[in-house]
Amino acid sequence: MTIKSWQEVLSPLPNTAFFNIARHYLGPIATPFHKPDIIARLIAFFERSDVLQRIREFVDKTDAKILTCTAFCPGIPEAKLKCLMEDLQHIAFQEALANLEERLLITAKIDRSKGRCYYLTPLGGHLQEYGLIAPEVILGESTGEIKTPSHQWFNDNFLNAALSFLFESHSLFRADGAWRKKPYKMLKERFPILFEEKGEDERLNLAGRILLNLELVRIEDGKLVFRPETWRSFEALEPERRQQLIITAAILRKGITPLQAANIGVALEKILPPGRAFNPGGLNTLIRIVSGMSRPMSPRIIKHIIISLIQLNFLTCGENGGLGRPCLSQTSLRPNPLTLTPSGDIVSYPGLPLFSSLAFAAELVNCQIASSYRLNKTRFIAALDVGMKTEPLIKGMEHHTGCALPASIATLLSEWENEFRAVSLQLAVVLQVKDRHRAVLEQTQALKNLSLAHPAEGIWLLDYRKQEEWQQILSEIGIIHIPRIQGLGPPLEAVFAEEKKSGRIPLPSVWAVCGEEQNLLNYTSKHPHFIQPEALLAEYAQSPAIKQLSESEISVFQERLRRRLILIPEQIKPGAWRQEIITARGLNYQAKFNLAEAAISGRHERLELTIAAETGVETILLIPQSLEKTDTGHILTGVTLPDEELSRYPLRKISLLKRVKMSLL
Amino acid sequence: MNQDKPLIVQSDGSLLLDVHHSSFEEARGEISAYAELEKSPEHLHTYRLSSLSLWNAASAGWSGGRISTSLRRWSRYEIPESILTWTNDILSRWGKLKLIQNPAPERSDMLLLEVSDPHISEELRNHKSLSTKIIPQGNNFILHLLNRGTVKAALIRLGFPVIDTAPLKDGEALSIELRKVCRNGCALAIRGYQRSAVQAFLGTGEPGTGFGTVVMPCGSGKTVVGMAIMAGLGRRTLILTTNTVAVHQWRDELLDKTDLEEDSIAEYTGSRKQIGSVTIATYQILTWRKDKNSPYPHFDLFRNHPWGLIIYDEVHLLPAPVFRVTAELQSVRRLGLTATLIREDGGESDVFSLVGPKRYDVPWKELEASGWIAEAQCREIRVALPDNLRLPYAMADKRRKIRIAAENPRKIDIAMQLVKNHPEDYILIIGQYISQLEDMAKRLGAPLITGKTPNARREAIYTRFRKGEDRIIVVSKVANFAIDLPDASMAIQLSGAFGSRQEEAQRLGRILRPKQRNSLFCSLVSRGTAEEDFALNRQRFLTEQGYRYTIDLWENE
Repeated sequence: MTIKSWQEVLSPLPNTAFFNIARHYLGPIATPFHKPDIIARLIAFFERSDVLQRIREFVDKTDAKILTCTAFCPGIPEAKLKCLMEDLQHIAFQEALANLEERLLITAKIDRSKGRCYYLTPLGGHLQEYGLIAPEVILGESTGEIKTPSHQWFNDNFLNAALSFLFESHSLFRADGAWRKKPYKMLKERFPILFEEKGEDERLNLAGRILLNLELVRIEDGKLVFRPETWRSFEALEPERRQQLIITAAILRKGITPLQAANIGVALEKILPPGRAFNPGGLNTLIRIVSGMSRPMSPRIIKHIIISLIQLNFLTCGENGGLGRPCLSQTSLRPNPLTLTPSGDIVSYPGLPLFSSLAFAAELVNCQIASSYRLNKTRFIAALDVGMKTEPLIKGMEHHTGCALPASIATLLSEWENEFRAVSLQLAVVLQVKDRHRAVLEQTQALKNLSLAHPAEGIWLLDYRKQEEWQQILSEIGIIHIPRIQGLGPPLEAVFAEEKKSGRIPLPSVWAVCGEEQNLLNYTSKHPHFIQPEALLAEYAQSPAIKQLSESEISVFQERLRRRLILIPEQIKPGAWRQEIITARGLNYQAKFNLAEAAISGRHERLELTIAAETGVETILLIPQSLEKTDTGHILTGVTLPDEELSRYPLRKISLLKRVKMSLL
Repeated sequence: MNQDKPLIVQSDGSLLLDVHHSSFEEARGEISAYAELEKSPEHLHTYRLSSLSLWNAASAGWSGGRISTSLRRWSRYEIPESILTWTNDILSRWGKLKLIQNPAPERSDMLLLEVSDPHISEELRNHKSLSTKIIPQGNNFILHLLNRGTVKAALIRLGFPVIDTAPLKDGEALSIELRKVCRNGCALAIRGYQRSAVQAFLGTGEPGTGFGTVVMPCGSGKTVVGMAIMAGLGRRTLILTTNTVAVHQWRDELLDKTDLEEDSIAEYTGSRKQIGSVTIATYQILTWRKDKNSPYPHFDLFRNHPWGLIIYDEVHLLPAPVFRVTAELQSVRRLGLTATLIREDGGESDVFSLVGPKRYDVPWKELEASGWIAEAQCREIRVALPDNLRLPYAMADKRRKIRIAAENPRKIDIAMQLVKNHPEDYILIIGQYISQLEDMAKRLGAPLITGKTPNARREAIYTRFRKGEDRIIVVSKVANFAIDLPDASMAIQLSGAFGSRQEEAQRLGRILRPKQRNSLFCSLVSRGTAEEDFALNRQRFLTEQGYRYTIDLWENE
């Protein structure tokens, strides 16, 4: 969270604004004055516990929301901040923003291209530890509970099943990218979980997208080919991290950068409390914030994100139309998430972590909430052939079933492994040596440790990976020129090269970005305690100073109290406030003129005009530009907000004119 | 909270119930009303929602809402929407079609099929094979009594269950009571689960009850259940069983446990064609005919006698012609008895639609735990082929490979060793191939029973075994079913019919009668051959029932 220091907040203020603030909080300022001293006194004032407590008590929901948006998007331009506060009318938004600034909770900086940009002040920053700045502030109050337990189907259990299926290497797609009929039917039979919902292929497509986005698979010749190296890395991650990546991959699509998707994935996984529903608008805002305001997302994309998360069962619809995160039942039905019968039938339940050995070794029967597998010889041997080791498989099964492997299965696996080991194929270089060199090599047995076999006199099958070593030996016995390997030159080198390279695998792009620091994640929300300023009138009435205030000062006092600027009774001091004329009513033409003129000469001020129109009373927010004298009076010219149209209003027709302060700057 | 619930409802209609959960019993009691028990291994029982199970539940008054509530009550996770939709769809079909007695007195040989939905009526009218058996009458149809079963079965295949309220024939009365003390002097007590099975079959006596299948493990007393049902109904009964030896066993049991006299029990087999108040016949004689194109002369046994009950023993073996004649007999009460309602040809649904739905089922291990069937250990013993057969095996075609593996001569040595190691046991040595069995019998000097062994010879061998005069019988697949040898405590399976789960279970069943010692089932398998895969599949039914196999690798010394 970026917080501007008091120096950064107060020093750039124009003198008028600065001294207004100083007088307001510290009382009349005697001359000569020393500005740094005044700043130090102000800082001390804002460190008082009674002051801080009152500041917290004055923070209402709108304040909290603006403050939270500002905290999560430091330097957010006014226009973007407005986008996040969709439920606020433009005038109300402007007033709230100006009020937070004069309460020194936020501060504005002018950026040439972006306009006013907002940051938290130290006063605003301290609200975080009191739960007034928190993601839940943006989500809004819970709109109900989500009682139905749900099950996020794209979990480790599903990934195990997917890996098991992918290992069979079915040709799934035609050349035009469409599904092949038979494999599609097979998918339906073996992955009922992907076809549970009404919109038949939605889950299937989502599953494919997640696998591709996570780079766990790639499409090759109509097949979805799993990528063992990324799968292994994925398996090594903590479950929470995998879940974040799954959410990220689910929402990543055209129009969303990997960084945005990752930020949303991580944030939602950490922030959304399970079992509570929220207004979809709040969730929209949260997604916008975490996706970064530099490249705001369109409502269409946010809709797609939410749909994907609903399809994933990460989000669900709660009561009263809210959206929320269901209470996921990911823990196993039984204390042990795996059961295994002595004939090799396996059932795995949610709660079973990624277990690639099992996925390789056992054939998937079907994947539902619980998945069924079957061990058989062909499959087990195929798994051994791609490097699966029996020991981790057995250990894993024993760990996850909570009991020793059934004796029959232990024997079967051992028998199958023996059968597999009975035949092996190795890549070797055939060395044939004749004449004198042959005799030397035979007698010295120099190649004994470098050859895979020595099938006949003068012939050795050499381990290609030890090329340098046997080349060395051959040259040492006097073979001056070691010939090129016939037939397998370049491909063999390629094999070498690949093996050397495979030591370090670059992370897929989604993984790499998913996990960058999220400033949103260190917040815990507490319910704000808000008091109405008017409720303090009785308390302040006890202050002896209030009796010394003039009539006009009392009016200013009440106005300032409404704006939540009076924090403690000590602020009530005669001469502390200059009278501010904020409003002018219809018949008081001169007052309207003065107010308009003052607003035009002020900096970043707005006028709120109330005018009788044909359709009723209309309220307009205006950036005032000039007052033109005409025969019938003055015309107020300015740009209306938020549509920014140049408009002209006869002063006499304005029934109420109100000055809206925009910024201290 | 749902975290504590014991059930997973899956989108394919399977229900996984945690056996170790504290609510297991309660949940099981409720779920079994609308789902069928499919597997009952050690930790997790699998039930399945099927059209038939749901229609059975509907007939017992379960609505879609009540089933959904029950599923939600026990389910740990959200129930897949597709399952709830499907369940409601299936249940909505219940009651749309009713079979009643034809109210027109001039056509009392016809039944009326009432159809409440004109769309279904239209569909049936346009159905090719049905249109020859049902005659439209407005929205309804009439059909001949003889077509009752065929039409019902066809309608079920179309997805329309029929509430059959047409009355069942009572048949001729039969005076039959269960004895309190058997003729052999032992007290006869009907066990709790047997009583439940009888009650589940008889039901309320209302239309829609009085036919169905009872599934109980081998050795758990299915015959007693059959006799108790006979006593409950008190009607003339036709009992169909697999072979003459089984006929005699039924007769002996009836004489031992009921008050029927010998003269009221008739035998209808290849050697005798008697018909009595209780007639016991074999499927073989009923399906005998001169040639392929001749009619079945013995089907008149079904048609021309006033049976009030037909019992189909080992109903899973019901031959196709008997299915056909059973379709005609829908007005007679029908009881199917079996331990393994699995057919590799998928014919279970025909059993359900023609004989009747599963009314009762009990896990094997549950009866084992209660001591009602013997505790059994299962061993697979692997032995390599001898060197001289390895090359022929490698070069043989698939079929020949199976034969070479099955007849591995080393199995004989292993069997000899096992017999030697178990001197106290009464042993059945069972195999598929006669030459192998002959060799085995010769080596052991033990009697051999095959399909060709005359019945008298078979009976004599069984009698000597029962009396303890012989402790070993070598026997072919004729002993797969319905052979009651109470003292058999060990079975050695030399070879079998490919991957038949049913055969494996039935063979184990031969040694499950409760006795003083545990039973041992040894299956000999040629190592490194196709038999290993068959063995794995054969064992599947039993492992689904919670049995554990050990695999021993025997080297040849």
